[in-house]
Amino acid sequence: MSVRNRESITDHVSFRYEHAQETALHDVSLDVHQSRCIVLCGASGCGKTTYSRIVNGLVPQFFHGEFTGRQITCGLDASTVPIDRLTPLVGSVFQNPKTQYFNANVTDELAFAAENMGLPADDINRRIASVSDRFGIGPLLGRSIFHLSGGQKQRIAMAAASVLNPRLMVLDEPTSNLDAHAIADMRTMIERMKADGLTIIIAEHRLAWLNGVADRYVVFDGGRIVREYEASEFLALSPGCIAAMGLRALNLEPYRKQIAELERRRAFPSSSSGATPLLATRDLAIGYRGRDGFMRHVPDMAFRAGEITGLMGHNGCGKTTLVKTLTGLVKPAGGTIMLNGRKARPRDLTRAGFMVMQDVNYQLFSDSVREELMIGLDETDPAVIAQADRVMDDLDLTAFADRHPMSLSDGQKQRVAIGSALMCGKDLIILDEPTSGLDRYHMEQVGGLLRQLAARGKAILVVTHDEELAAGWCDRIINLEKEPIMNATNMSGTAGAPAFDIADWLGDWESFEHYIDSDDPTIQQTWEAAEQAVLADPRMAPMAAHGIRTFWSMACATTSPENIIHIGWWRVSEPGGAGAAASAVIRIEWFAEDNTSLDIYDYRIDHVIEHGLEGSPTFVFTTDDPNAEDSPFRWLLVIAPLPSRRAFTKGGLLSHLHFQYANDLATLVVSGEPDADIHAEGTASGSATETLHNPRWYATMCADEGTVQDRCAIIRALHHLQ
Amino acid sequence: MRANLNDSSVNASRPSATPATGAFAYAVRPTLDPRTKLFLLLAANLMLFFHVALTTQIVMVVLFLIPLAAAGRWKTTLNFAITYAAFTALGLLDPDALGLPWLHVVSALAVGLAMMLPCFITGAYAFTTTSASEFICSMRRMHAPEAVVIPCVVVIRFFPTIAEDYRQIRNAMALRGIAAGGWGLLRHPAQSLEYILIPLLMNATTVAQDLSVAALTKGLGREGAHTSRTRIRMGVLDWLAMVVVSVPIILDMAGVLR
Repeated sequence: MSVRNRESITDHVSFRYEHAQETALHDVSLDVHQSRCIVLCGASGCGKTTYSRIVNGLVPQFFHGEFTGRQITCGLDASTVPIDRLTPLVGSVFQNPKTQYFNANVTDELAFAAENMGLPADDINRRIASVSDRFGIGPLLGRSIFHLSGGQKQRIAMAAASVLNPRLMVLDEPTSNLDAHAIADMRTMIERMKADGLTIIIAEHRLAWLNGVADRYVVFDGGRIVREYEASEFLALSPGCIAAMGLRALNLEPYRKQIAELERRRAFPSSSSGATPLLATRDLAIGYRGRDGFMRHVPDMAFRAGEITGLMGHNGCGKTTLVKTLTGLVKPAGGTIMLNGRKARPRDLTRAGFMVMQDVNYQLFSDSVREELMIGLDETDPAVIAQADRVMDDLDLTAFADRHPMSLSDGQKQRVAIGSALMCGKDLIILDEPTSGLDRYHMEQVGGLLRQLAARGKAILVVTHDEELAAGWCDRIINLEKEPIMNATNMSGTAGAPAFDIADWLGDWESFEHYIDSDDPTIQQTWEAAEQAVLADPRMAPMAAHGIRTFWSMACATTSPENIIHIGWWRVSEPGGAGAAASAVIRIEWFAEDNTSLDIYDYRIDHVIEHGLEGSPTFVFTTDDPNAEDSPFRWLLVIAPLPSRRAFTKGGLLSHLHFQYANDLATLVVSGEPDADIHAEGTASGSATETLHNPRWYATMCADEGTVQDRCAIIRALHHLQ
Repeated sequence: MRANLNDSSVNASRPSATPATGAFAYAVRPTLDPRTKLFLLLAANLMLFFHVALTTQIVMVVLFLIPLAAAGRWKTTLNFAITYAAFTALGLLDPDALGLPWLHVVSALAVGLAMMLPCFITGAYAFTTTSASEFICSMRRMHAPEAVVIPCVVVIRFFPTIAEDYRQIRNAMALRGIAAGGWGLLRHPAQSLEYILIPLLMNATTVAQDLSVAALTKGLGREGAHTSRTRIRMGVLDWLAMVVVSVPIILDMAGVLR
């Protein structure tokens, strides 16, 4: 063990931020060995973030202050060497997905560090290609970062930090703003980095996702290292011990069970406990129109005074839009919302409800807390002043009455926002992710605050990913992810759904991969010409870094995570024969490269996704054949062939179609909304109710007819060559 | 694959020629070299400085709107065009003849705003159609000092987030009952401005710190040559644009257009 190099050596380091009273770190010494994953944990303000900044040189070079001691990172003295000398050795990932990237475009962001280091253009392109391979972000290249989800943004951040092949990665609370799926992705990325030999230092509150990945845990308190634990020791500690250290739970199972219980407890609006609910929805549909619009139905819900309801579900399932609809900021797409038993217009809802946003800075308008509470009210009225004093007292803000709201801590700002809601007499208070990034103590404080508000007769709705908060303080939970979003009217198909005509599909189809691998000299020449054209365009150049055919073979691979055999051919015919299902519309026989028949199934159309592959209407085929239960070909997403095979005979291009397949539909399709606050431009995956995980990454089949010239024509058309 | 369809009668609902994957799927929009864009910005400022005649102004505004339209920003171009036309028209009104003395104030305001508009147009063009790395590369080629390059790039980075922030702030204001409703902003303009600007600026400082940290850890502050993945070249169109834009100003200064 001691044979390994030490990537980071901290020798009796103490640091106090400029203008601060207390020391942030006091006499800290820590050695981090190569290829180990170290987790820094502790309550808020314990110094773990400051420590992570010391490792990558931000302290004391960007965050000035008094620094004593020595920090050697990857062999360099981090406190004296200019920070850019550390850049190729240390990759940094920070907490907030929104403000981590300097460029607007994914590819530019990946290139940024390399450009700053003065690397030549083709080296940069090669690195981008390799990093996009490693992190699976190929489909995201060239897109605007603003329009990605939080999880995707963090993935880009990890990729961008890895472009220069650093030896050490420093992550500062990377999962604060992510949902469960994105956190699982993050864990996979870290496991892979560990396998590649990187040393990883993570400062985190939420520890559960690192179980099994971390090698050592370092507990900080008040700027000192209290104890270091080996992973096995740490995971063996009792939950009580963990809680006493101010840390979040390591084992979330009991919380998840409690949440499942609370979800079942959802009261049906009809079974009223006497009082009319403050807010009730009936057949509510939320969403917005437009190119990237979406719409989904939500189950009828009711919010009563004195109740705390939790709203959970992964990012993108509609929580933000629902909350905006309930406060009247967005019009409902259908159905009604009743306020105190009467039908309410959006304006009434805005008057009755209040939302404490995740970023409270948008809601603080004044110079002092007192003024903030009295905005919009008569400041000279003694009754108002008395009420403001009472509210401040209740929320423990009296000490800060004359302080500028921006000088307060996040928790205090939250309370100021809630105070202003109370002053306005709002009865419905919604909190959007109030505990993201908070340690155990502060989370419990927020929980206490929720109980206090409920006791005052307010109806509370908390939108959260935090299992501990939801399990501990909510009276019931609504999980939008688990609610059905399609109802009968949706299922019958939409106006733009194409008709299915078996005649377009009949015949043999050949995988596009054959064109890529073809030995025919004419085809090879066409590929060469295409490669030249791509290399000439700087924006597309990274695609051809390993050769244009390598790129296309990745893009059009007929293999999938479930199936390693390349699909060579399809034979499409009419369904029928013994035991054929009545609803089957097509029979497809799948052939491998060497012409062995893999499977043959009759498919029926389950439904049509309006904006699927490449944004086009996509058929969702499925087979009910019992032999297909474990088959990767059970579910099939296909776009209708274009142009039709009949058109080809009249001298058009070879007919071709695109497809994806999986054993389970959920592997390919996500139900939900794009990032609700941002209206994406040019994202193919904006859709009504359903979106694909990868709308631009799919395999292609071309009609197995025509000559070599026809194949070249396709290749040329693809690259806009004449 | 989205192949170039000669036969448009086939399945017209399909999107038109764009190749399969994400990287190719955004259309490459033609824009000028970043240095030319800065020159346009300079020209707009010179216009203001030399207080050019109305005809020159109109000609220049039209010239400035062309590249913006060519970059595909139709909506922005149209907005600017209409705004400019409205302000100019207001400026041309003769309050005395109409018998509305208060119109003097409005008219003067309109004239002032109309004169500032070319700067906004060229600024919008420069900062919203250039990527940060193109900008950095061209500024460094011009040997601009780092103290000029970095702030410019941060501005570029900020622009897209401001619209988003503005919307959030308006939502927050609606919930508080401040300046609510469509005309709320106009009824209490000074107050509204304060309520919008303060959170915007406060948020900006936090964002600025995060951005600086992100950029520094990626080596932005490094001394020595930085390269660029994109090739920046001054083409014929760039030189032509610079010449065309200079002509009206020179003619105006020489007194020909007055």
